[in-house]
Parts: sequence; structure tokens; C-alpha cells
Amino acid sequence: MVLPTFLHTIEASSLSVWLRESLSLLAYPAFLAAHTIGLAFLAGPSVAIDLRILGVAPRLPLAPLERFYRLMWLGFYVNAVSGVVLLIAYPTKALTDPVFYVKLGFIALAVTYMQLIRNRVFRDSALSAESIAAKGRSLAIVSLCCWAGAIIAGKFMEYTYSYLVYPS
Amino acid sequence: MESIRAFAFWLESTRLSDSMIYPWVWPTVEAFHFLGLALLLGTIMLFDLRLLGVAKRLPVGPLHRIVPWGIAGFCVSLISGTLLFVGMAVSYVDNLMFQLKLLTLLLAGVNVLLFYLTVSRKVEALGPGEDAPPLAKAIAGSSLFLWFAVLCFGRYIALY
Repeated sequence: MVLPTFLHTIEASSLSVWLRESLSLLAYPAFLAAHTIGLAFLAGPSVAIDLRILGVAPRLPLAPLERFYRLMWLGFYVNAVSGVVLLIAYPTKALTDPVFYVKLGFIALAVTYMQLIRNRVFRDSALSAESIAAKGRSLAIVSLCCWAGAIIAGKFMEYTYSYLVYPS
Repeated sequence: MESIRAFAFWLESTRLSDSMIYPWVWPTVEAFHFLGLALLLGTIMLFDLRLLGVAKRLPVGPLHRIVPWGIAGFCVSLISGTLLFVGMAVSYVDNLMFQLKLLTLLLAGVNVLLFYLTVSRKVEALGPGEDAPPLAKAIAGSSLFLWFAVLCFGRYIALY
């Protein structure tokens, strides 16, 4: 199979080479750590909100939890940036691996559901317990499954790739 | 240290250790390690941030009810982490990042203990808008710092 040459172009760039070859803690390890911290900021509170909607901690008022959306979006941007940097380090590895696209799909769905929950559960003026349970339940379950899917796919990407770097 | 290495060699000679290297097994166990991480950090983060003053309208008592799910996440990570350790015990014991991870994990545990021995009752009674005492804030801040340090050292294990 002939791979697109732009993968090789990215890999040959000085940024990509530095990310792969530098032993500095500020190179690849920093972005990998940032990507995991971002995961915790994004998926963590979202999972907790899903649990609350599904009936955990029933006496906890839902409305103040909306404050954590800013934190979740911060996590999203940290991961978008660190994810692009990790992609620049190993473009062939990720872009030729179908699991990478599965992961992106799960993230797109998870973030969509995160916002759906904000619009349909948080932003509803009649925030009675019954209506939250009825409307939020399926949204929360899908959200939980998408985060699990994204995390599992992300983890498997470290093992399912065909090429670590562009074949010479 | 020698006896720890000997123990690690013995662990790696077990059938459980052998079964870890099958394709799918290692990545699956690692995936569980991360699912547990998300559950643990997500719930703990909410609790710690509330004590630090974020989303202060949350009453702390009811919020505390979400913490058992964090503990469940911790157990998932602990069990999967133990399996990963059994799979590659010999290289883990001499890995500096792994040693630092265990140390910060221990400190995080001491911090949790400190919380339940000192301010937990007072904090439990905090209603919407009420400020946590300084000691509770210090413990919450240390908790966030230590758990994220555990996470970072964990990620560095494979790289060093």
C-alpha cells in the first residue's frame, strides 16, 4: 500500500523530529501527560454529571454543576491542542489506524451529548426531578458509553497501529 | 531492594503473568486502568474544587455521596494496575517513574486519611454558598495536586 507522502513531510519536520527524539520531559512526555490531564478534566466531570442524572447523590442540586462546563471545555481545548501535537509526532501511526477514527467519532458524539445535556437538562426552566430523570436518562447513558468508547479506543491505538513511522 | 526484585521475578514466573502478554489482554486491562482513572479523578475533582470555592452553591454533604463512585473507580484502577504490574514486574520495580508514582499514591492516601480524621465532619455540614475551612482547602488542593502527579508519573513509566 502506498501511503500519502504528506505523512512523511510532517514526520520530517523539525517539530516532529524533536518530539520523537528529544529525551526532554518537555517534549513528547509533556504532551502525553497534558493529553491525559485534559481527559480527566473533560470526561471526569461529564461522567460525574451523568451519574447524578442517573440518580447518584439524589439530594445534590443539579443546577450548580453547570459551572463545571467551563472546566470540561478547558479540558477539551487542552486535548485538542495536545492531540494535534501528538499527531504531529507520529502522523503515520495514527492516521493509518482505523481505531484513531473510531476514537474521534466517540469524542465527537460524547461532546455533542455533553452539550445536549446542557441544553435539555440544565437549561430547562422547569427542572423538576421527574423531568430530569425522564429526559436525561438516555442522554446520560449514551454520554457514559461514548466516553468509555473514546478512552478504550485511545488506549488500543497504542497497540493497533500498522506503521509507527512512515515506512522507508 | 534485592528481595523486592526476587519477588518481582517470582511474580513474572506465574501463569497469571504469562496470561497478561496475550494480545488484547494487556490493552484491555490498560483501558480499564484509564476508565477507573476517569471515574476517580472526575468525582474527586468535583469534590475538591467545591471545597476550594468552585460551584459553591453545591451543598457538600450531598456532593459527598458521589465520592463512593470515585472509590469504585480507584478499585478498578488498583486491580487493573496490579495485573499490569504482575505482567511486567521486573521492569516496573526498577523504573524511577513507577517508584515516584507509588510514592505520590501513598501521599494521596495519607491526604485522604488526614481529611477523614480532621475536617470531614465539619465539611459535610457545609450548605450552599458556605466557605470551607482553610485546612479543608489545603487538603483539597493537595489532593488535586497529588492525584494529577500520580497520573503524570504513570504516563511517564512507559517512556523512561
